[in-house]
Amino acid sequence: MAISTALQQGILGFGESGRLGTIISILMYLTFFIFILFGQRIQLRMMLWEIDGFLKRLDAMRSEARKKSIEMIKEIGKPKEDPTPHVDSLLEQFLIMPVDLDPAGIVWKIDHLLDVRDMKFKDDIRRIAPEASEAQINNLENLVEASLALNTIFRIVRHYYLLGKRTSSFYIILQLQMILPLVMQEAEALMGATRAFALGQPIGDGIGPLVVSKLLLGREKRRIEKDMVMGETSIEGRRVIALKAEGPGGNVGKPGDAIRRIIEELEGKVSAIIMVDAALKFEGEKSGEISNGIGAAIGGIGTERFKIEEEASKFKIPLYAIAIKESILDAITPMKKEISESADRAIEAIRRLILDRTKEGDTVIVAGIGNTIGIGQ
Amino acid sequence: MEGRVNWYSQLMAAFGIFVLVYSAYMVLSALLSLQGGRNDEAQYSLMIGLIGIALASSSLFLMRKRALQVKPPPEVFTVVRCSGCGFRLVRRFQVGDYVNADIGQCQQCNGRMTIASIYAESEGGAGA
Repeated sequence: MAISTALQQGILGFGESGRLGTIISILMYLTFFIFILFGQRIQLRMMLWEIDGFLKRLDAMRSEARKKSIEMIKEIGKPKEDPTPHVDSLLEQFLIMPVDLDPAGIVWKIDHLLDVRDMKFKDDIRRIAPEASEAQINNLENLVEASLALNTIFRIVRHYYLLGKRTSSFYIILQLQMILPLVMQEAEALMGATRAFALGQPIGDGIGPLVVSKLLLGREKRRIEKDMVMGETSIEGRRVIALKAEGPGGNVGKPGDAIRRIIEELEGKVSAIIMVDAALKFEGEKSGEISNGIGAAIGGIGTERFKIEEEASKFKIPLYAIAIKESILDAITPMKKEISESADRAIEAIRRLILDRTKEGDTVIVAGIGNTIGIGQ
Repeated sequence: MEGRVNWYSQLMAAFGIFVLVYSAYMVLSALLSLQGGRNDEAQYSLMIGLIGIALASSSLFLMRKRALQVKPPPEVFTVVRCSGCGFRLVRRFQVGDYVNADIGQCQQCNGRMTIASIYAESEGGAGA
């Protein structure tokens, strides 16, 4: 009211007698020069402010994941002493990749290092959670790994944020700001994963093992290689050997070693290898859609894929892939209904592929790739 | 902590609405000035009013978008099925449930009940 009275009386009025018009004009010129001289600095400050907000959210996420890991270890593992220092030490663990100046034979070196890392991680969890069963140890291992990933993301983002702030480097800050929405998406997915791992719920990535478990329902299974199980069934007169990671604990197993062993046992007499795995969908595609392809459908660092490709090319066995599309968020959070329902359609796709590409009496290997948490044999 | 964030968000929303209302008043006063023949006054009022409306709307829109982004974790369900009569039961997930787990005897036919699937569904029913 006071402003409108002032406007009416002309004290702050516009027009010839008013002063507000002049003030606004001066302010606009001033703003123009400020932006010309300090525009980039202002933009830098605004970007740093935005990154600071993201960093605070990442810090809250990693703290929550760490807290959840400690709580679950205490609840399930019933340790005699406080596991917090051990968990903190696990959250800072790292892996040094082998030197790649001479890349020949590097896959076996990476495989060895991954085995050592996996064994040590599991042993550490076993030590701090002595009462946990084998399946629970696998779940706790997955939970701590998700917390470790969140911790690493936070440390890397903080590193570049502080580096950019200290050096006032526009380009470091700009790159960080541009990539942060994607990083946050991954961090949100990891937070969802910690909930699933803590409770032992199946995740989207488990669709491959789910398909194989449905395929082998009521059939006899046996353990083959480390953390892998296999069973036999028959589809349209073909002998189908299906394999998956051993559940229901969080586990991906070593499908490369298992497939190699089966092929060697059968002396290469395998007509096809069909791999079923979750694959990242493009934006706009529906979760749970199925697509067929050629090649070894398996993610990870590449060692398992290398082994499968080596063995398949050695015996000239065709490699087929059935991919169930899902986003990164779907892959590591509790399995969505539409993904779970796609298992039957994937089995139908396997049946069609077997009918089209093999003859009666042939032997086919079907591998369900992915984390088998919450999915039994 | 959450309460403090909510209080701050509400304060910011109230401020945004105040700026929006005042900017609308400025646009109205610009029209009145135009009718009265005070063109300079109308020009400035219109400019300030439109800038105010744009800033307040964008800030309120962003606030709404952020509020919608915070979703509760999806509900996880377990589907139990009898291998004998096909009796199907859907219940909330319990710790220890896993696909293919033997749950016990069927209430209908005394057959074996196993967990057929476990899936997540958000409140809207359109998946997690």
